[in-house]
Parts: sequence; structure tokens; C-alpha cells
Amino acid sequence: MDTLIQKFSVGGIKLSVELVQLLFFPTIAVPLNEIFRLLADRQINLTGVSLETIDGQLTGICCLAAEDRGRAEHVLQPFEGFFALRSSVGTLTIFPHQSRLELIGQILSVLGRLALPVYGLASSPASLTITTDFRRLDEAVSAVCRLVTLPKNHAPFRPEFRVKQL
Amino acid sequence: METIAFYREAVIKTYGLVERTDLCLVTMELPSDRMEAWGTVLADLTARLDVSLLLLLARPLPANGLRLLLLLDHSPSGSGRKEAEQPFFDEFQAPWRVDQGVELVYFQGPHYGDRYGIASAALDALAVRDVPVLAMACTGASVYLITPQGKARPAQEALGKAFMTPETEKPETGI
Repeated sequence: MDTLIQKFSVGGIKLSVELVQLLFFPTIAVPLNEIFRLLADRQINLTGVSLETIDGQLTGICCLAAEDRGRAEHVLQPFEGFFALRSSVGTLTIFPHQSRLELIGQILSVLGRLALPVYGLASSPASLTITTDFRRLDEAVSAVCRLVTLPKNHAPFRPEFRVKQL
Repeated sequence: METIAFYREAVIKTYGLVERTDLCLVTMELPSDRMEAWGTVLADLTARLDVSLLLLLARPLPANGLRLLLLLDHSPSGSGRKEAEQPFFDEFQAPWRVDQGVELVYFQGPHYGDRYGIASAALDALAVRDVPVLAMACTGASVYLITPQGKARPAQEALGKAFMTPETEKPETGI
């Protein structure tokens, strides 16, 4: 039973299309900027990039549209063994979260309680993005909605069109 | 109905590069089986340490869990709270590290979240000029680069040569 009383007011929740998550291992011998350049050369957009330098080497995660997976795998073929792909992930973006770590902590707590996987988190002053299983996005929304209040007439929405750079 | 619009940009535009210094980067590893408890402790962090959150990023650990990076700004009145960090983070009973004095450069641009090559251009610009990066996050239309102390300015200069900002109308091309 939820004992939380005070909810956080947010402006909205946005859900992503189906994505694939790329996880780069710290052992990768090629600088990540070079791999990113190869992906950019194939016009593959990377979203939700979270990188960290460990032992002088950038490592971390990023997402790409599921429809770009085949082309990305082709680009990444020479680096096999130095990365992993996680299929069928999706993101839930809360905006604005106003940099409230209290909200983020409570979200992590409720997702943990419900055993909903968290494959990534990224915040900006405007938004907080949580990466989870694409098939469990609706469960994640329900969990987050236990903690937040949305404006009247707002429902979490999925993108109806996609902007694509040519 | 399909609508196609073209937007040509020879050099990537930004709305401007912003720099922040004297920040605190906290790195923690949270095992997934204790996520609920950790979330509760995290929720108290800003109040107990009198800090504000600038940026958060997390990625999965190989053995289940999250590696969490928090970029924090001590409030002017909270400068004395640094001593409180050790006992606070010890409560996590998991690996953690605090790096003081780190710096941040961030920028936004049109439709960055939908365009390929933005992260690549930023990393290339820094790599060419040997500017070290501690961490990077691209979320929505924003790019965040955390650097060691004293490196935000070189990072800003390097990015200013690769991206078009309101201050640098004619950046170098072909980084």
C-alpha cells in the first residue's frame, strides 16, 4: 500500500518509440568518439548518451531507434566483443522535474519496489529520462504516476511523428 | 499525410556554450536488489547536504545495478556541509567517490535529440584538442560535458571552434 501523501507536480510525461541500448565496455580499444563518428557517418542518431571516463577510456551507454539496429550492427561489427546490445528498451521522460533529487530518489525507490528494471537515467534541468523495458513502459508510467500529479487533461503520450535528419 | 521539411546547417549551431565551475561529482554503485532503499536515501541528499542537483546520469552495471553519477552544486550557505558527505555516503554501504572542483560545459541546439552526429562532433572537438572529459550526457536537446578542474574553459574554446555559437559566427570546419 502506498503511504505517500505529497505528490510532485510535473508538466508531463513522454514515452519513446522502441529503442535499442548500446553498452560499450571499458576494454574497448578504439576511442568512443571514433565509433560515434562511424555511426554518425551512417546517419544513425544516438539518444540518451551517458558516458564516463574509466582508466582514461570513455565508456557508457546510448540508445538508438530499433529501426536503425541493423545498420548500427554493421558499423559495429569490427568491435564485436567490446559492446553489447539490449533489445526493446524504451524511455519515459518526465518534464520538468526541476532538478528535484527527492523526486528522482522516490522514483528509483518505487521502480525498485516493483522490480521494474532501470537501464539508464539521465537528467537535465528540464527533464528526467528513465530507460526501462519497452514492454513494461505502461507499468513504469503507473508507478511514476503514484508520485506525480499531471496537469488536467494531460495523459502520458507517445510520439505521433518522428523528426529525422536527412 | 506525410510532411517533409528541410533544414540545412553546414556547421552545427548551438544557442551558446555555458560553463560552470567548482562543482562536485559523486559516483555511486547501486545494486538493483537494494534500489528501493537507495532511492529513499537519495531523496534526502539535497536537503541533508544543502546541495542542488545539476545533472544526473546512470548506466547499468554488469552485475545488476546502476552506476550513478550526480553533479552537485554546493549552495553558498552549504559550503560547510562538505564534511557531512562522508557519513552520508557511508550509509549506502556500497562503493562511492566524491570529486570536488570539477567543471561543466553545456549547450543546447535545435532538434539535437533528433539529429545524428551531435555527440560525435562534441567528442571529436575535445579529442582533437586533447581536452579531457570525465563524463558526458546527451539528453533531449542538451549536451553536458563534465571536465576536470581548469578544463571547462579549454573545452568551451574547443567546442566554440567546432560549433557555431552566437559568439563564434565562423567556426573552423573539418575537425
